[in-house]
Amino acid sequence: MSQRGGAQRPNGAAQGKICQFKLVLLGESAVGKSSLVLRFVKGQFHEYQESTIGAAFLTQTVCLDDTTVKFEIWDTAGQERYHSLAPMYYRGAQAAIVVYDITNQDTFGRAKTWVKELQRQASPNIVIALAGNKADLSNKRMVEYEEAQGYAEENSLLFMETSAKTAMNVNDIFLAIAKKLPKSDSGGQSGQRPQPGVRLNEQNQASEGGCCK
Amino acid sequence: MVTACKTTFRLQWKCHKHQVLNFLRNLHCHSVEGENVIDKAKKYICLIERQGDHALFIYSSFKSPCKTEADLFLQDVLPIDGELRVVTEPPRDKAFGTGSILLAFQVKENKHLYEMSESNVADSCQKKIKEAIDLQTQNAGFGLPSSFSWLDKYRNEIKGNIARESKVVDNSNPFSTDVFDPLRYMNIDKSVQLVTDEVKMGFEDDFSQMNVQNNDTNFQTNMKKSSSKDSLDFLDGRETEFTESLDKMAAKELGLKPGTNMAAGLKPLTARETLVECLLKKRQSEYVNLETFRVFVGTWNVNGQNSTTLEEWLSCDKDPPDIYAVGFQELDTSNQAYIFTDSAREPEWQDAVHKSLHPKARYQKVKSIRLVGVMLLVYIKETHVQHCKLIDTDSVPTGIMGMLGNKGGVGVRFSLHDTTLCFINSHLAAHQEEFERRNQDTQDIESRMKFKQFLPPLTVHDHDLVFWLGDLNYRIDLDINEVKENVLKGALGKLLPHDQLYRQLHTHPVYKTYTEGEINFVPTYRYDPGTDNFDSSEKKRNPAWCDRILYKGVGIRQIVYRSHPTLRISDHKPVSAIFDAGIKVVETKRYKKVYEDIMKKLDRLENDFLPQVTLAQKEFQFKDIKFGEPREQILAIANIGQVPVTYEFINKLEEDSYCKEWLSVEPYTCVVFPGDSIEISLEVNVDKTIAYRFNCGHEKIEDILVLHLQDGKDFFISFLLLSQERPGSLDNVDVLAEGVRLYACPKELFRLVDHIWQYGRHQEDLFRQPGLKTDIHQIRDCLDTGIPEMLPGSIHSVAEALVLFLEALAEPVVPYNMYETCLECCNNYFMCKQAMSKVPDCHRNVFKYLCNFLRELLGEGKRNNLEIRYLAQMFGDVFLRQPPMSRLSSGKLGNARRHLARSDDMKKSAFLYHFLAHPYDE
Repeated sequence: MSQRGGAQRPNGAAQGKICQFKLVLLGESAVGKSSLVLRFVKGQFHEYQESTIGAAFLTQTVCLDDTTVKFEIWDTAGQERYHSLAPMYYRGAQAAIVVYDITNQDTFGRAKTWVKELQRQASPNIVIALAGNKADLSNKRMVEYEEAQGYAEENSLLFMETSAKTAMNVNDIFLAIAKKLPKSDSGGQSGQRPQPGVRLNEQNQASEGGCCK
Repeated sequence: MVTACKTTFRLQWKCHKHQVLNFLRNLHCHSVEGENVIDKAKKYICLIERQGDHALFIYSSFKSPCKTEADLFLQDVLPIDGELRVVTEPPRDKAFGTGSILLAFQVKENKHLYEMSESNVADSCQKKIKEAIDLQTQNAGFGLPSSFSWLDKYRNEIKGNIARESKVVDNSNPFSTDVFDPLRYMNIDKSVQLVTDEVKMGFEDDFSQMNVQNNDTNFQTNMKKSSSKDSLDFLDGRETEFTESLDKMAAKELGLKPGTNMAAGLKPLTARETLVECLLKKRQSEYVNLETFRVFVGTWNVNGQNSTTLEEWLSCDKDPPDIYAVGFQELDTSNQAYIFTDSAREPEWQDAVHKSLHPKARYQKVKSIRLVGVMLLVYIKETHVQHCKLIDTDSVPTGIMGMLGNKGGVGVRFSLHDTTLCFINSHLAAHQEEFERRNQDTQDIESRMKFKQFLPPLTVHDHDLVFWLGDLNYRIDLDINEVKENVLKGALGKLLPHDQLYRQLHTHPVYKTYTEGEINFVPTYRYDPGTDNFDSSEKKRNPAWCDRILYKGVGIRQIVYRSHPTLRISDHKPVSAIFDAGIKVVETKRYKKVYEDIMKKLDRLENDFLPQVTLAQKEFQFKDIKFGEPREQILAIANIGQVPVTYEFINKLEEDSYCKEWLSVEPYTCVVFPGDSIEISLEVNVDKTIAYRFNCGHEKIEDILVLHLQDGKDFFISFLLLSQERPGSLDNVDVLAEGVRLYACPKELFRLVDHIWQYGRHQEDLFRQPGLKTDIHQIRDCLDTGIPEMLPGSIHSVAEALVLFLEALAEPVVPYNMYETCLECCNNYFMCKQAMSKVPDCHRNVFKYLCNFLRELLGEGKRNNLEIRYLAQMFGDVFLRQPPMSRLSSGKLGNARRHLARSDDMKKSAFLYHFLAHPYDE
């Protein structure tokens, strides 16, 4: 067998490899998760963004100096009735953006519970960013910047106030996440779509246990 | 004949050394023998790779659609060896649908035919299989036979499967064995489990094979014994890195993740990397500047002499070159040179070269390679080292038998900035008349030179700039005296047309792309060593320009081409050429811009080609759900995107089915083409297994289904089931608890019992004959509404309605919490009565009422043929129901569990028997 080496770029590895990461957006409904994604990926903004019923999927690449980070973005449904389905999407994610609406104190509270859930249930080294969206509506502000920042610091989250409408900090927050993600060798191991199918092996074990008792 | 039911499922194979390269899903594969379809079961074909050997694993499924791995069993294993042939053909038989192809594997005389629908998946699978076969042939050609001993255990597994299969088939009466014999399922489960276990663990058992491979590699190194490579440490380090990452790279290449290998729908990142690379190259001009690099190329046949100082050859110019490529031939003519890898001459000459490089610059060695006497050294100015990458070498022996290294070529390639360079040093066949042999040698070297650190390996042609140097051994086809005369006269131009290489350069295909500068130096061969005199020995060899330097590529300008006659130790004179070569240097800023632009475009492309559908409806309400009446609604999916969409309902976490048992979805997965739409039927059927949930005080049942688009987004489809809200409805409240407030027993129960007593107590085969479905629906409506006064339908229907009513109670007649107690004491009437005394009044009243009723029916036994055992068994099962989620409630019955169930059934009937045999007094 003569194939010893791996694929090589004839031009040299100047641009570095592409690392793929799964990123999930969480937060109360109508805080602007889909709008943030739409702004980031397509540079668009719709005043009346349809409510997400399911989990939307888009990809976007961010070029850093040494590496290229490709995000597989899962934008989840915010409505409470779909809460129990969220783990399907944050499971195996390397990054999460928890979004709240700065004009609505309740959504900030909800964001905190999402952070807690992620800390408890998601991958232990998940990079979490907190986004206070709708920053363009600061005259209706209900959540103080300092309050959110303090909370983010305590929980070592990235934090920015964003506006999908004006594009403020939208690219920046994704960029900040891209920078914070560990790039060592995880490019390959990370880029994994959620495997929504049956986990056959696990299932077998479960049923085995069931019948013997 | 062929049912077109499609199925998808995802297998997650946890295997280490077995790489599942491709898995045929969604295929209808049928074994075909001769003209007859002999086995129509759906097949799954899996291409497995292990240590370079490939095999096809053919699985059969018990169920259609096949949803779990447990339904699969291994039916056949076909090693991809010299005997396997793959033929694809269109179906000959109308039995196969159109748009399908037949895939035939032929092993000796046996032909295995599989039909599959024509699809991209099928195409790519076929391609993969063919690749595997090609690889096998190639390996066999190199004398690397595959043993496939690792397949043995699977073959044994199959034998087991077939034995079990045939056992089942032997039984002529299909009913003589229970179709759902749990034993059978258990066995099969186990076998599949075993297979996967072995896949999981089987990575240590092939040492024998590994040894064989090691021997092979030893053999190969023996063949090339007399060659060596070496380079600077920092470059070596890089090389090992290449090899280490082989596995990872290969896995990546296939889109596989280390550890868990099979991931359906995963887009390999390498695909994008390759694409990016390709696009970058296309737009190279947008971000590179051409910078001139000076290249010194030298060649010398040293005739086995000891080294000497080489400044006159290597550093006779004013300015230091950026790159040195120095080639030697006949470095070591001793016999030992053929046998031993090391040659004392190598370091000696390398040292001489190193010391004689231009003093005005510092150099680092890029790489050196030697094949017996042919050695090539490449140096680069220290300032360029960081831009010099992806260094690789190869050597091609062309000597005796095309194997020995006494003649042949060595090559060094590397990338400098964004330009790829390749240097070849060759020593071609000798003797005046052998010019065709020399052409052949060159051709061999060019075609066999492979830089194997690349996948696929790079060839000489793949480089921007190529420099070909060496003792090419071409002669001048003129009389020796004529040659010498012209040399003396300085009339080199008259000789040149007679030079063999000069002629080949314009005619022979192998040289067509190469250029040579004008020769202005006297022939460099053959001299009396130590002099500038042509060969004066007896052989009187014709003077010739043996030592030459050719080049090809855009942007090369030759500055000089000369010989160095003052170096006299050999019978050849050294030759050198200086070139100005245009090297593409990347301007980082512009490069980044182009790179980002490409990424942006690819992102847009990728997002545009994501599957996109619209759903007509995402919420489904089923109002007025009635017991036992299936209801259907339609979910329409329209593909509004640009690519075919495969949708699939997927399981939620921790759930083992994509929907609840009361819902059936058809088809649950399918491909929808752009512009097309498809209707999915959603059928709700509330039967007795779940009716109790409505009765448990819930007025509605909700569920959310996850509709997944392969490689795309998910939709949530909500279901809401509402029952009739009229009070007293069959499936609304705990009837027993409710009813007792009004009557001694619920009024529905009273009406049913009363009706049977009045009109049916003499009915023959009471409780033995089934009722009519339509009757039962009418009876149910009548109970709910009270209209008409008399229950409709036949007496058998009313009897069945009574049983159904009791079965649908949220809490059975004997409450769940008493279930175990009652079974335990079933052998003792006294204790049974004691147990019943603990039952809440309302339940006990009903129990008593029904027992009395049944006992009275038994009193009429002569006419209605009822007997106590039958009633005890039948109603025992109705009165005593195992609590949900108990040890027996899960769907699949194992052998042990089935046994348990049987003994429970006996206990139930024993329990009730007491109360039917004796009047129940407290």
